[in-house]
Amino acid sequence: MRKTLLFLFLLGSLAARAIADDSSTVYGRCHSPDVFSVENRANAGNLPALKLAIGVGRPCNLPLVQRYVLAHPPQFSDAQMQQMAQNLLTYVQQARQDKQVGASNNSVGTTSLVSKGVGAIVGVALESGSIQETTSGNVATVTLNSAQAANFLSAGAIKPCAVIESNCSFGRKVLSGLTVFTTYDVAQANTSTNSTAAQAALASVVGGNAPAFTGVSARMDFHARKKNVQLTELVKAYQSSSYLSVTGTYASAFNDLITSIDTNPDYQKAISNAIDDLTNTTAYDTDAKVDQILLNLEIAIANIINQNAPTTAAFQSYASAENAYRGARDTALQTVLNKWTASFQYDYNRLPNQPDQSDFKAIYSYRRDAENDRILQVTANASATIYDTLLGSTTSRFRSAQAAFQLDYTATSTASKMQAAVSGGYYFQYMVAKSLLTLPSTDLAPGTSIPLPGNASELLNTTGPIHVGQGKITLSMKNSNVSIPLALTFSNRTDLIKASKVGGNFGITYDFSSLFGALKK
Amino acid sequence: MPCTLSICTGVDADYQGTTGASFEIAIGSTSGTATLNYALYAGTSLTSGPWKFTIASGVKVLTLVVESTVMGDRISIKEVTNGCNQVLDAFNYTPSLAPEGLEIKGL
Repeated sequence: MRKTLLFLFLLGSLAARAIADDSSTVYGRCHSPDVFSVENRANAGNLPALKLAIGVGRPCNLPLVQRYVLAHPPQFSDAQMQQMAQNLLTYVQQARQDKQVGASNNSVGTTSLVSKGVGAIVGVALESGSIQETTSGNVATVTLNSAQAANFLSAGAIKPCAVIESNCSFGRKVLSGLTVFTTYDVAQANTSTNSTAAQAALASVVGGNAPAFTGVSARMDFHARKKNVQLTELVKAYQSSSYLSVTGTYASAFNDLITSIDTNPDYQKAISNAIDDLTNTTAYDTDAKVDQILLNLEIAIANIINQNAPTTAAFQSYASAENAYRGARDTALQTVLNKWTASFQYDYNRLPNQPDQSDFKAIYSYRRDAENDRILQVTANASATIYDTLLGSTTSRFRSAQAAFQLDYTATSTASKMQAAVSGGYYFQYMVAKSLLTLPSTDLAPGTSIPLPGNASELLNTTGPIHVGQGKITLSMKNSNVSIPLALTFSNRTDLIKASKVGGNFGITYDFSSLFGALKK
Repeated sequence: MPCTLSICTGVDADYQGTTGASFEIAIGSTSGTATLNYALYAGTSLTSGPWKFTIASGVKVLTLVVESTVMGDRISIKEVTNGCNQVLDAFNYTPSLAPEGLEIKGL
């Protein structure tokens, strides 16, 4: 086991070096490489530039200190680190135990993993955003984003590929696009005989005493970037309240951290010593000596963070706010910068009293903003489900297939008095054998905006194909509440049509209530 | 017009100025796509220009959140008080940068 662990860490380290884009950056030099030349070090007139370059407030200096702190955590000894890795591996082993059938529990609850007081590596991974856990009903989902995990395991050397980043390396693109989900039924009993510590670690992650594994999914996302994005679109995205709210917290956390470091006498002494050492170097001193002085300063600042409780707390707040900021920035920019997105997903489902199933899904999303306001949004998805085992039956291994298409187009500019929005949707499902098919009651057909009637939640006689489609145009007057939606719906099953008038397999929807409401006023 | 901020010769701050005096910040970049999205100084936060502040007593950090769409874009932080033009700092953009934090001492 220990050899395996060492091998994994070695492999991770090598991968980190291969993927990291800025592994050779040196504190201070990342800001101003030229200021450390022999001529500039000897020139008293360059002292302000030298001092500015080595300040912890420079945008590229703090990330280097941050990496050093994360790579040298003082709170864990080597023995503790080994124990954490052991716990994590045991947790993974336990999570793979077969699910057992047990009593159901319909209570819906939410579990906060952090509030459970998880120690060790799982807790740290959660704080870093590498692992996230959500609970809905009896199902707990643990999400692992590979880029966040790589960032955590490489102590910040491998940064996730930001949406705004145009020159991501292939390795970082793959890591950033890959997300793995595992699901657990917290109401099921697991008969694992693993150690109490491992059970506690698992329970702290998924919120139950002995939750059972119910499935695992892996999704890969690909994006194509738009060309010639207007600056006004970016500014508009950055003015969104969701982005500014997170940015305010991020700026405040940074401000507190820099203030905490800057007011520490040890920091000012370290800066003063570094300036003296740099200006006392001679023409015969190599760059290696300069780099050593800069590294000593980086370590001194890291020690200030690690050895002063208020600064440590400010650092942790900043690291957390930084993660949130990167996420908010990606969210704000993805519709502005991404032309299309494609996703491929594989789901392995372990269902009680049923054969294991595998789902294969493909999702495509396209957005075009013509003249900034005529927006075309297209999404399409398709999936197929197969039985992994047939348990000796003669049933087809192929269980079902689904496909959906949705198009939304704003046909008029925002300046036009008459507004027109066009949409079209189509949903298809094919079942090989009769089965109870569950659709979202009083909701929409999956992957479309086609409304379903309330009695469509459970369908019988589902063998063969099911088609549902809808074309819709909505006309409205600008600066008024009046809108006229006209929709034509078709389906090969009338119980899937939600419309005012149904003839054969077609239905027409019209809604003049808003118009009459406006006339009454 | 002379600028409000001047270089601080001590190790406790980057720039200094008279307490109570106002100063205005702007950014420039080689690509022209850089944006200053958020500024925070002495408890005052701004989300759009003009990026004007009043110098507070003691050392306070001026925090600037800057983004660009061009990797390696050379970004300049400038003081433009009353039409003056002084580059306070410059750096090459990457998405993994921290905010800019300039320490300003009020005298």
